Amino acid sequence: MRMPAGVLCACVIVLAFGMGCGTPARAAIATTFDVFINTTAISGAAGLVDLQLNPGSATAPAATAWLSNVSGPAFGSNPLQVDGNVTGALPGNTVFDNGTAFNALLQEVPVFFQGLGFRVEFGGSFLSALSGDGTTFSLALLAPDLSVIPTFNTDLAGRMLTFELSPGSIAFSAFDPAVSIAPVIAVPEPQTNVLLLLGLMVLAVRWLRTVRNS
Amino acid sequence: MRNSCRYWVVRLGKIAAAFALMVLATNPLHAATGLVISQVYGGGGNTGATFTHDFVEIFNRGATSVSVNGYSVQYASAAGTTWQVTVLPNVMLQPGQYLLVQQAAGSGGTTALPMPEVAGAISMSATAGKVALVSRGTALTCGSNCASDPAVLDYVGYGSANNFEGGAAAPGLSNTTADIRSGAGCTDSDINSADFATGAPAPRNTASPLNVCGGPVNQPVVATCPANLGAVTGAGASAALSGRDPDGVVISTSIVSASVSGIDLSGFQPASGVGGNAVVTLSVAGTVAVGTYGVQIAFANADVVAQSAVCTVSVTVASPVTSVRIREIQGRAHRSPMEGQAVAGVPGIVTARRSNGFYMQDPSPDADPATSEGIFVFTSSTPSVNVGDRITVNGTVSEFRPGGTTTNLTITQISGPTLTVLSTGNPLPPPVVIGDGGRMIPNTTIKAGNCGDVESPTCPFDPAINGLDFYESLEGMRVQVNGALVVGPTSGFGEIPVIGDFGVNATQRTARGGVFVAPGDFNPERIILDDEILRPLPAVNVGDGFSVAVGVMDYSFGNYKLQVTEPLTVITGTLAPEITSPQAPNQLAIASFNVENLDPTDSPAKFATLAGQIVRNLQSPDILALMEVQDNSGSANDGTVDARTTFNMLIAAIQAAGGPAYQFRSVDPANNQDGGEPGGNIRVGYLFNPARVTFVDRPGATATTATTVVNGASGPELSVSPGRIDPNNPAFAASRKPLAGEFIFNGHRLFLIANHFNSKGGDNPLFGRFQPPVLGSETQRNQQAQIVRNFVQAIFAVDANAKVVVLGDLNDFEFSNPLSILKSAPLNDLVETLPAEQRYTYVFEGNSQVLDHILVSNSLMTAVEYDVVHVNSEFVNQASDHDPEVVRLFLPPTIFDVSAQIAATRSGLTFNRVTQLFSGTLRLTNLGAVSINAPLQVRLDGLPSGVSLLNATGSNLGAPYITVGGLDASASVTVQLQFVNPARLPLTYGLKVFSGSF
Repeated sequence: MRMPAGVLCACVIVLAFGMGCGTPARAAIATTFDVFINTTAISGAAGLVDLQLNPGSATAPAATAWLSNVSGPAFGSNPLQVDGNVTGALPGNTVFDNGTAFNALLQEVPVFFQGLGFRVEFGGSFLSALSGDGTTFSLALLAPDLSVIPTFNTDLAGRMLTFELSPGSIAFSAFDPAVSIAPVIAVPEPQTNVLLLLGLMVLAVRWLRTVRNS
Repeated sequence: MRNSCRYWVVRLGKIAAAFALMVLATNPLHAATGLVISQVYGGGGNTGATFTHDFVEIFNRGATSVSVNGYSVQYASAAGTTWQVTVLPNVMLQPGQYLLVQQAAGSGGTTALPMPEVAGAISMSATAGKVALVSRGTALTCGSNCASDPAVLDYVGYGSANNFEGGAAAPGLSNTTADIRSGAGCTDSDINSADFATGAPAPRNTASPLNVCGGPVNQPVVATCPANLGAVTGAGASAALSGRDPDGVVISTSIVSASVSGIDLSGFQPASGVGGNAVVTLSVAGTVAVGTYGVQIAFANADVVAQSAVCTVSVTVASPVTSVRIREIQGRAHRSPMEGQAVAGVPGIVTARRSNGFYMQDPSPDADPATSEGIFVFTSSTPSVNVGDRITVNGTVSEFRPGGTTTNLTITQISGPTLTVLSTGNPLPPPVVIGDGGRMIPNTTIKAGNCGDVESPTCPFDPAINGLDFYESLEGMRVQVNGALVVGPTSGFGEIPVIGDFGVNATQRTARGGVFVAPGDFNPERIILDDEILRPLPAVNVGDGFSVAVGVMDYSFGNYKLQVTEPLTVITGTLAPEITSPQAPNQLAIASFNVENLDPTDSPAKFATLAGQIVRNLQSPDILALMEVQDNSGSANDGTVDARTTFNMLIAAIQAAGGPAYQFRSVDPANNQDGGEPGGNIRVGYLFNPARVTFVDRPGATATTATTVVNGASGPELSVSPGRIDPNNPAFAASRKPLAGEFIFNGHRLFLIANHFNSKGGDNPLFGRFQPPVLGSETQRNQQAQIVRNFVQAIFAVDANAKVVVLGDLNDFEFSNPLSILKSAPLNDLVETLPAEQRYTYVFEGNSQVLDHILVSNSLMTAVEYDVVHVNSEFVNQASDHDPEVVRLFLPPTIFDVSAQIAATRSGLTFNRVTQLFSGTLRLTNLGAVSINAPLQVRLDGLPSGVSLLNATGSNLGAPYITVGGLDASASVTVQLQFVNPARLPLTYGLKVFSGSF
């Protein structure tokens, strides 16, 4: 039985930070997410995957979504329809940019299997912006006639999940228990730790010299 | 079972037999022989009769020959029980053959019957009686109830007879009419009243053409003549006669009565074909001696056995009246006491000429001002006399009613004149000065009392009191007006209404020089100058004038008119169009303007002039209710009802004149159902400035859809807006339907109802025959006002303080019954807030009057400013015949901009591939420390063209808005947004948040 929309909505807000050096937050911990949708319930059926990255207005700060590690169903050889600033095709890596009002990829799925998974990473000036309108990344699973597959819960707009990319924040929502979204926490590489340690040591030496000279 | 069936067979058989006997009893033998009485005439030999004898005509309408040997025709009086008998001879009547039974003679009559088959001596009643055709020769003994006697073959009761066939008797008769069986005798339903009709007696005998029933009917010839023709010795007379045969050709005519020398037929034209009219003129020469002559004229057709019809004209020849003066002909009345009389030697001097006659005036008047000394002589063609000729006239006094309209007065004239010129070059009689130094014009009363028909001899005639009688006493005379001040611009008919002595003796002067109407005073002091003799008259405005105006007093189109005979010298006035005050930011300016049949074929100059008046003189009101907007094809009667082109051309002209970008709202009427110029489809409509005021659109309007008042979330609402009020009500037949619309200004909701009530066309003229004038058109306006009032009260029923404006061309005065009905809603007629001398929106025949109104509810009467802007009605160059009016209503905001206190966060959007909508959210947070009162109006300003907000609550100043609840301090609310963006345009828009209601 289908659950009421919104009941299963999970929402997480992750504050981004840019280390104070103007570096985009792409490498920040909470800008990358692993998404998995359990499609067992529609296994064997055909359908469509509808991915969109659209701004709330033309003045929204820039936002980009990179999709990778796509797995799961058998995808059609070509997207059924591409609108706006979208490059690539599933199951390959694809990039969405919010530079137009409508940036979308409609990809045909001849057969769904047990699941659909991918990693999505967000970047752009929205992460460092202090104000402005949001941009929404969304996914919907559609039947071949473009209607929402009734097996799953969705929001009123027919979406199974969304990422709201607002100035300095990312919030995601899932509207069906079949959806799981996991932020990918970036662990510092070893060489990075060494550099950090060396830096701290230099600072300590300079501090000691200062103390002794005073 | 079998026994039961047999019972019913026997019983039904008895019932059928009884019914058959009943039918036979009711209709004895009538159908058996086919013989019927086909004509009955009892006026023979009586006064006025043509034939010398009464007669009864018998006819065989059957298919076989019938012998009448031993039969009889019998007669009893209307209530009589004794029957007189005329036995019929041994004649075998063929199918379709007639038999004539002559009866008693009278002392009158001029024509013997055709040869009868038998001559009786029964003196039949000329009006009522009973006639029976009986199968024996002995008298009936059934008393007065013989219609069903077995011996009676046919039966006719006529007039007030107490016995007859069927439900009613045949029509009553006279000395000149007979009862004639229809179908030339063939019709027989056994109902006397249905089978017989009266007609001139036309006896037929066995020699008459056979008329076999069921065969072709030979229709008779019909002669048409006037009953009477008057003539005078020396003048003569003539009348047109005609004859027609529906199934033949009338080819000849002749006088069949005794010949009278000088009474002749002339100009005979036979009918051009079957059913055509043959015409001839009956002429009576001036030499015929005084007396009365019964002239019989026969028309005959071209049938092998010719048919003919005879009509009679009673010609009366009278002696002329000699040595009569014009004042005796005119008399102290509206009709001449000598009407119809021949006059001779009437003296006068020719004062003015027209194309079909001339005016003459007696140079030696008497001392009685009530009897005119002038008269029109009707020559029917260009008169042979010249101005200044001293003449005498022979002719006939007649009354000519201009236009043939019964509501007009008549002009006394001498027609059929014979003129004798005595001398030429005579000085004209001096004109009568009306006003100071002469005869004073009644300045209040047109006609006192309730005469009804002023031509009635019982209606008092008093030129000292009644304007109507005053001008009648000057009919045909030379008249002079000093200091003629113009009170109405030169009309398209070349007429100029003026008041004399520069207005010093006039009452009810307007602030700008005219005269306005009031109850009981429609300004008889107005004098209408006309151009039928001297043309053209100058083009002048109200406030212009003439030092002097001289002419002869005439009457036409419901008014006395001074036909100007001497050139006019214009004294130019200084009247200028008015300019109203501009509205303040918190004033809503609403105007009403009849733009007089505006359509795209009008000149660009008209559009530009109207636009200039709207922008400069009316100061670009926020709302304009327009009347008489025609459809896109104007007066072309081509089925077009759409008026978008007309509206848009006016809007473009207004913008070109520097005005705002108005929008319009209207509802197309059904083709040719709203009156006005055929094909024009005039309607009312609104222009509004969307930068200042919001129109609340509620879809669903059609020409026949009635908008209603519903109790909505925020109070009264219209079911459709714009919408027509009760458009199918007969009260709006051939008239404009009121147009209701909802507007919002500064958060105030207003209901406007634009109207164009039916015109005053059909009312009796002020200077007409019937006094006081009958206002025939008012009934429909009363009904329309009642419907509008009911609608307003339906709004008040939901909200007693609702803001309602009823406006438009109501075609009636502020003191009229339709306005009283509207004011009882209750509504306030704003024109009544003006001083009396400023109350007019229209000038009709020099009378300044209020036809256009703006009425408002009590809730709007605070700090109201109202103005009639006089730009048209007083000017000869006018863009419309109406002046516009405007009201400025002080309506401060009830809504406040709280945008600065609100933080708004817009989400991204997602496109739904099925609904084709972009969806997103808008999060509003109250940044302040205090609550913001509900409701909040979130307005999206500047959406790109082609993008709309589907889930908008409404529109304000052209931008969509969504209504949400209030916000406590620091609280947030999320608003759903659904955009229609088919071109997927980049979305740019601003946000404004208001507390309150639009």
